[in-house]
Amino acid sequence: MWRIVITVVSVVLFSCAAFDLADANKLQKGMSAATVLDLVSKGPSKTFPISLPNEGGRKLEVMAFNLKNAGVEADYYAVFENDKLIYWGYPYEFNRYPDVRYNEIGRLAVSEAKNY
Amino acid sequence: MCTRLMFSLVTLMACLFLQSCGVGFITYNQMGQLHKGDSPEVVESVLDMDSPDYTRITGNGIVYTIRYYPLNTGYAETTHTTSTPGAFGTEIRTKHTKREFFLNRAVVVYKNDRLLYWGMMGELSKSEDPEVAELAPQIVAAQAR
Repeated sequence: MWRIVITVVSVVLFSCAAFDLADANKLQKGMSAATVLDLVSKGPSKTFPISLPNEGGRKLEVMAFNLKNAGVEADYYAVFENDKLIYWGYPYEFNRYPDVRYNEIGRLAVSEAKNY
Repeated sequence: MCTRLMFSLVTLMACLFLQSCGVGFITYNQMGQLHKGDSPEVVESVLDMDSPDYTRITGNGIVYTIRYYPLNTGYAETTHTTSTPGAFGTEIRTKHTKREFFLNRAVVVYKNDRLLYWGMMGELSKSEDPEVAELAPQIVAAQAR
C-alpha cells in the first residue's frame, strides 16, 4: 500500500517539477551533460545536435529547456562542445553575444529545434 | 431584425478593435528571433509592436537610437467566485479569473539603424560587448529623463 502511495506522490511531484531560474543559476561552464541533468529539477524538452558550417561541420549538442518563471514559459538552451557546457541562456543571449560563433550557434539552435 | 443587425455590427467592431490592439508586450521567445544587424522594420515585425517611446544618444561621434518595450516576465492569476440566486432556490456560482502580467523594461539599441543590442535594462551594464557596456550609463540616464 505504502509503495503505491509513494509511487503516486513521486509521479505527481515529478510532473509538477519545472526548469526555472534557480536551475539556470546552477549551471557552470565546463559541466558535462550528465552533471547538468543531475542538477536540474526537470530535464530538457529536447536534445539535438547542430553542426557549424563555418567549422567544417563541427558537431555541438543542444539541450532545449522550457524555462518557467511566474507562469511564463520560454525557450532556454544549454550548448555542449565535447561534452562540456560552453554557453547557456535564452536564445536572444546567444544572438546578441559579441562573438559571432555564439550568434551562429543561437541561430542554428532556434532553427534546428523546430525539427525535433 | 434591426436589433440583430446592430448587435452583429457591434460584435464585429469589437473583434476588429481587440485584434488591432495586440497583447501590449513582447516575450522572451520573440526576442530570441532577433539578430544583430536587423533593420528597425524587421525588429518591429518580429516583436509585433511599434515602440513610440525612443531616445537618441551619441557616443564616440556615433548616433545610437534606443527604443523601449514592455517585456512580459511572468503573470499571477487571482480567482474569486460570485453566486447569484437561480430558479427553485438554487444558486448559480460563477468563477472569475483575473490575470495580472509582470512587465520589465526591455531596450533595443540600434547603431546606424542596425540592431546592435537588445535585452532588459538591468543587463546593459554587464554586457559582454564593451561598446554596449560603455553606453549603458547614458542609456539608463536617458530613460529616466
